[in-house]
This record gives sequence, structure tokens and C-alpha cells, in this order.
Amino acid sequence: MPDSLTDEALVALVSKGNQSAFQKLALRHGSRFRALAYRFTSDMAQAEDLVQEAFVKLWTGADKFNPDRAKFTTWFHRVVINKCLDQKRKRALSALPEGYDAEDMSPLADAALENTAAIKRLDTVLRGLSARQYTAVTLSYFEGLTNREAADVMELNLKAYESLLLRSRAAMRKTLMADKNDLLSAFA
Amino acid sequence: MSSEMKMEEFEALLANFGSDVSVWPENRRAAAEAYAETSDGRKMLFAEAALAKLLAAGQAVGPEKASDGNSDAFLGRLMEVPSSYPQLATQYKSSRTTVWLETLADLILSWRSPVGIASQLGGVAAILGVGILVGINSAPNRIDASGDLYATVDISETLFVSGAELLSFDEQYLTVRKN
Repeated sequence: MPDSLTDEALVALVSKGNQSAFQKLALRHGSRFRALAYRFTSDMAQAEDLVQEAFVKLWTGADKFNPDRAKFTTWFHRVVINKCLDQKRKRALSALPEGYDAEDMSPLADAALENTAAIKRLDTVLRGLSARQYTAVTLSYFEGLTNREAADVMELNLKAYESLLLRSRAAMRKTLMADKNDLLSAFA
Repeated sequence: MSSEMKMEEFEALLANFGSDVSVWPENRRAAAEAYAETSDGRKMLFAEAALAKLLAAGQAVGPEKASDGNSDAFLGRLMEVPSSYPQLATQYKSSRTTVWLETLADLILSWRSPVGIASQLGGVAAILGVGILVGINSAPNRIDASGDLYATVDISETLFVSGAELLSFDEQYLTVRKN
């Protein structure tokens, strides 16, 4: 299987049952999408399970991918993010016993990451965002997608996406300003 | 334009151009610098600079390790997906019925090409021609051998003939009757 094959060409082969093409895509993108899922779940084991589910969907439903409509990575970002948001919704909706201490659902809440003050502050700021705002911030600032690519992932037109990103940034800035004693002092 | 700057405009420029006012659009820079000296302006600039630092710190955050400390194991799980999950679409493709259906689907899809459209039009024209020929050869005007005239008489027969023909027909009829 030549390395020069594009993602889209590999997906076409996957739809015909080519296992090598599937494995090539998994090696090429597995870690990247695990990192993306982790940003949404803050739980590595769960992030891995969700990405595996997304790859199962790729294997069993590759024929549903239409390369004329989107790049493979755009489509797969969408698949992974939708799985992460669904998972969060399910967890939020599930009934909790009385007195249950709600699990910290904030992004980047992993204990291993909390040893840096900046990450804690970032976590506080991101916690105030809606799911859509958080997705936009993640795609643009952490995943490094261009606004056009991120807009495609979120199925928005470019203008609407840029507006969403500006609102997200304004919301984060407001959180910082509202909590300026705790947060801004670190940057004084 | 050098009118006074309001908070909304300052905020929009901040979001678009960042906390360095010196790179903001030249025609609004003086007004922006004046607003930046106010208490609100200072807070917003400070928050924007802090946010930029936080986001930069967040970029470096990533899963340094897999859930079990072994990234190869995670990728190995992904490698196993094809052998663990049946690919239904491919299985269906192996059946004869599906092959036939796919051929039919390909044929239908081929209509969208100019050659496909031309060949389909040719087919329709041929079928139409055969239909007309069959129709001509099996036209009525023949008396049913059973003698049931009502069953074979075409009531529209006289609708498309001229008055002269009708008259001629009547005359003949009258002649026959007279005879």
C-alpha cells in the first residue's frame, strides 16, 4: 500500500473491504483523533473507546463517505466530535443518586494535567463555554484547523463560524475579567 | 473617521486583531488608543493578552500517554477492527442478486452521461416505432367474425371525414337502400 495514496483514495479502498487501506488510515490518524477526543472527554480510556467506535464506523460504513462533499479528515472530525458530545449528553442525562458528587465534566480536568497553573486557568475559562463554542475553540486553537476547515467540520458557513469563534473568545475573555483577581493576577 | 470609540467596537477589533492596538486599522487606531486608556479598555486588553497566553498553553496539552501507557496497544486495537467487525456492505456485494442490482443501478446512473441519455432516447424511439407499427397492422375496420357489430364498430369513424365524404357515403347508402 503506497504512502502516497490520499486519505480519500484509502477510504474508497476501505469501502471495498481492503484491510490494509483501513490500517493505513488508522496509523495515519489514530493518535491525532485520540487527542481530539481527549480534549472533549478528559478521560483517556474513554477517548480511546470513542475513537475506536469512530474507526469501526469507518470500516463498516466507508461507502457512506462522499469525497465530493468533504475531505476525509473533515468528515472524521465530525464523526469523532459527535461521538464525544453524544457521550457527554448521555452522561449528563443519566440519573444520579441523591448526594452523588457530580463528576468533573470540564475539559482538560485530568489529574495529570492539573499540575500546571495555566492549564487550571484554561480549564476554568473553557468550562464557561457552550458545546458549540468549545468545539470551535478546540478546532481553531488546539487542533490548528483553518477557519474554513473548522467551519466545514461544524457544517457552518465561514461567516457564521467566524462569528461563533468571536463570541467564544469574548465569552472566555469575560470569564477572565469577571474572575480577574484569581485569573488575571497570574499574568500581571 | 475619528469619532469616539464605544466598547462594542473596541471589543470587535480586539477579537479580530488581538491585544496589540498598534496593528489595528489605522483609521480607528487613535480612537482605540484613547479607549484603551480607560478602565474598561485596560481590563479588556489585559484579559485578551491573558487569554492568548492561556490558549497557547492549551495547544501544548495533549495525551502524552495512552490509557495503559502504551500507544502501540491503542493503535493495535484499531488494527484489529477489520477482523472483529463484519463489513456488511462488502458481504452483500458478493451475492449474485446484489451484483445484478448494482449493474442495474450503474445502468440507471449512466443515464446522467450524454451517451447514456442518447442510448436511452434511442431505446424509447425504437419501442415507440414498434408500437406504432403494431398499432397500424392491428387497426380495426374489420368485422368481427362473431358478427357482433357493436363490438367492432368505431363510433369515431365518421368524426374525421369531410362533409363531402359523408354526403357521398349517404348517397351510396341511399342508393343501396333504394336498390
